[in-house]
Formats: sequence, C-alpha cells, structure tokens
Amino acid sequence: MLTTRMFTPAFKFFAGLCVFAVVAGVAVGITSGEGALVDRVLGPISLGWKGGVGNHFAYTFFVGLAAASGFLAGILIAFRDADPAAQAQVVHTESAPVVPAPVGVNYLPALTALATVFFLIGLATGTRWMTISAIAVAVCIAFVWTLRTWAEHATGDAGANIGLYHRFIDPLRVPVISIVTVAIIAIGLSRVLLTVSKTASVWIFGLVALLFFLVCVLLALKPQVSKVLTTVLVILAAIAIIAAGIAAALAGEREIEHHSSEGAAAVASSAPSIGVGA
Amino acid sequence: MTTHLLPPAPPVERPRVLLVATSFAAAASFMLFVAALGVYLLARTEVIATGSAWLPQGVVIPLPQPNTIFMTLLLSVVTIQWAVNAIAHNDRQNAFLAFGLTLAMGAASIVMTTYLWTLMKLDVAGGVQGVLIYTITAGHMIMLIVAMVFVALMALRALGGQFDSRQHDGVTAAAIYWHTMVFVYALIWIIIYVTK
Repeated sequence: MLTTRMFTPAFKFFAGLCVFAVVAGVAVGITSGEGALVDRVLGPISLGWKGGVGNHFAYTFFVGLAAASGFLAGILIAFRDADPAAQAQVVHTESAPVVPAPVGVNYLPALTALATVFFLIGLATGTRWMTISAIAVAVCIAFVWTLRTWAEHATGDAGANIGLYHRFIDPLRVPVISIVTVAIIAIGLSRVLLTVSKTASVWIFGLVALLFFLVCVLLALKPQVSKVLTTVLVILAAIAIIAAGIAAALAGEREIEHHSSEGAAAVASSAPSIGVGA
Repeated sequence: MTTHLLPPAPPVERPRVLLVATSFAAAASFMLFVAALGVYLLARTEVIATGSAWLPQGVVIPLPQPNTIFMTLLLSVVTIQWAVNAIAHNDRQNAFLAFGLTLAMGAASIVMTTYLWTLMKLDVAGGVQGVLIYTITAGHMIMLIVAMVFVALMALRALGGQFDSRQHDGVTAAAIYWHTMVFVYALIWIIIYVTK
C-alpha cells in the first residue's frame, strides 16, 4: 500500500536548491566583498542594505535562484506532486497505479558527469573549445535522457517501451555517432601524423588503417561477439586516439617544408597550428 | 522489420498541469531577468568604481513615470486576484470586469513605458548603459504582453464557460504569471529607476 509522504520529491529538490542558493549567495558575498568582516557579513545577509554584496552578478544570481526555487517548492508542496494519494484521486482508483521500473543500463548519468568535468576543466583552463563542446554534449544528453524517460513510461510493456525508444533514437544516434567518431579519428590521428617524422607518419597511418580493417573483419566474421566487448573495444580505441592526439598536440608539430609556387628555394617553417590550447 | 503492437497507454489525468507548468515558466522568466539585472549591477559597479557617473551626460531617467507604472501594476495585482476570486465564486460578471481592468492597466503600462523611453533620450548604441537598460525594460514589456495574452485567453475561456468554482486552474495560472511579471517590475523599478 502506497502511503502519502509529508514532503514530496520535487519539493525536497527545490527546497534543497533554495537552501543551497541562500548559502552560496551569502558565501560569495562574503568572500568577494571588500572592507571589514562585519560589513562583508552584514551586506549579503541584509540584501545589500547594510553593506556591500561583493560580486554583484553572482550574488544577484544566487538570491534570484533562491527566490525562484523557494517559489517552486511552495507550489509543488501545495499541489502534492508525485503524491500517491493525489494521483489515485485523479485516476479514480483506491491506490496509485504501480509504475514499472526502468530496465537496461543507462550510461547517461556517467556521460553527464564526464561532460560536467570537461566543462569545469574548460572553464578553469580557459579552453573555449572544450567548454563549448561540453555544453553541446550536455544539451544532447538532456535531449536523449528526456526521450528515454518518456519512452520508459509510455506504455505498460517494458519491451514495447524499449522498441519505442529505439524507433526514435536510432535514426538520430547512428549519424551523430558516425560524425563524432570520424571527427575524433581525423583530429586525433592528424595531430599524431603532424608530430612524428614523415616516414613514421606513413607507417603509423598504414598500421592504424590495417588494424582498423582487421578488427572490423574479425567483428564481421564473429557476429556472436558480445555487445559489451565491442563497446569496450570502441571505447579503448577512442581513448587511445584522443590520448595520442593530446600528447602529440603538446609535443608540437615537426618542421614542415613549404615550397613556393614559382619553384624557389624551400622555406622551412612551422606549420600553422590548430588551436588545441586556449 | 519488426513492428511493435503498442498497447494503448492508460489515460492519465495529471493534476493542475497548467498551473504547475506556468509556475515553472514564471520561475524561468524570473531567472532570466535576475541574470540580466545581475549583469546590469555588475556593469554599473564597474563604471562607478572608475569614478565616472553611471548614466551618460545628458541622460536623465525621470522617476514619476516608473512610479506611475509600478503603482498601476500593483493595482493590477489586486484586479487579477479579484478575477480569480470571482471565478472561484461563480461570479462571472465581476470576473469579466476584473479581467478587463487588468488588461487595461497592462495596456496603460505599455503606453507609459514607451513614453518613458522617449523622455530618457538614451542612445542604445551609446554604450553599455543603453544596451542593458533597453534590453531589460523591453524584455519586461514582452513579458507584460505575454501575460496580457495569457489573461485574455483565460478570460475568453471563462467566457466560454470552461472555468467555474470547481475548476479554475487556467485563471489561477494566469494570475501566477501576472504576479511574477509585477514582481520582476518591482526589481527593475528599484535597481534601474530608483537607485540609478
């Protein structure tokens, strides 16, 4: 028998967010303010009435967030979100219908954490492309996660829900993953090829292509290979290419000869670098 | 190709969807203005820290017009709540009167805001001050127009008999958005017009 809880889940979330924003607002006001300690404490506590609030944007943002989340917490507790008794009331049953639990592994939380880490690293190091890429990945994750959550509760049949999810996501996932894969290989491998000597670059290019071909042939000949093994292979390959690309970018490019169009003497210069850092 | 025969989804009646969704939309709108006002405060602090005046020379922001707008919007808070109360008591005549008054006050606020812009003589391309002030005040005007459309739609639905004392979520939702819009104006009034 489902019982009514005093504090509903969404209320807890927004109330917690409200408390966090209040604490963060006061903390940022105190730490970024100037003057005596008493003034730096009184200002943020009194909304700037009795002193400065430090960084105006950060303080305003956190105070606004506290107000908005407090408002939403109030609204959601007033209307009993996700409350079994309220849900049972609207579907005219004695108890709330049991909702099937989601099935299958969900990698999206891990991906979200990874995108957050890259976002923070990008911000901390001032690497714009990393920050923007992390935001783009986070937007994609939000879209896919929303779709998955919807599909998981679309019908009462878990198998049909999975089919529904794949019907929507597969036409989007295949081209996106293909483009990302090609981009990773092209960018990562090109950094390596530009770093090593001319002869070594030919060897590396040939060996990587051969290795790629052999693995694809093996996977094609052994279709019973588990999906987990394939996933692990792809992830390891991606990590290896990214790591090699980063290492090569840090090492810098080799001297590349540029020939003038009129056949004049070759001029040795450094090839224009693609921004890897800031 | 595998086809899935999907069993029909059970009919779901979610309680107060419009009301809760409007609350989220109102919170999002509020956060938009909070962020914009935060940027405004930061820019103003930086300019004042250099020893310069915030507003460019020759620009004067008069206070009577913002005061009038603020008072008008405060009155509209009463009238929109009057509409909610009237619908909740099946008093349709008073509800329509309250809806009409609310919309009239919203229109009056728009007129007064545009008049205020002409008085300020602030060049939008003259610096960060113009960009920020026009962005925030024009953004609020858009929010006001959205709120008016929302109220007008709910008034029409009430006219069609869709709301009564048992179910008047739409009117309450419109009132929540209207209150948020007025609260945002209160912040703009203090930050831009009063403490200039």
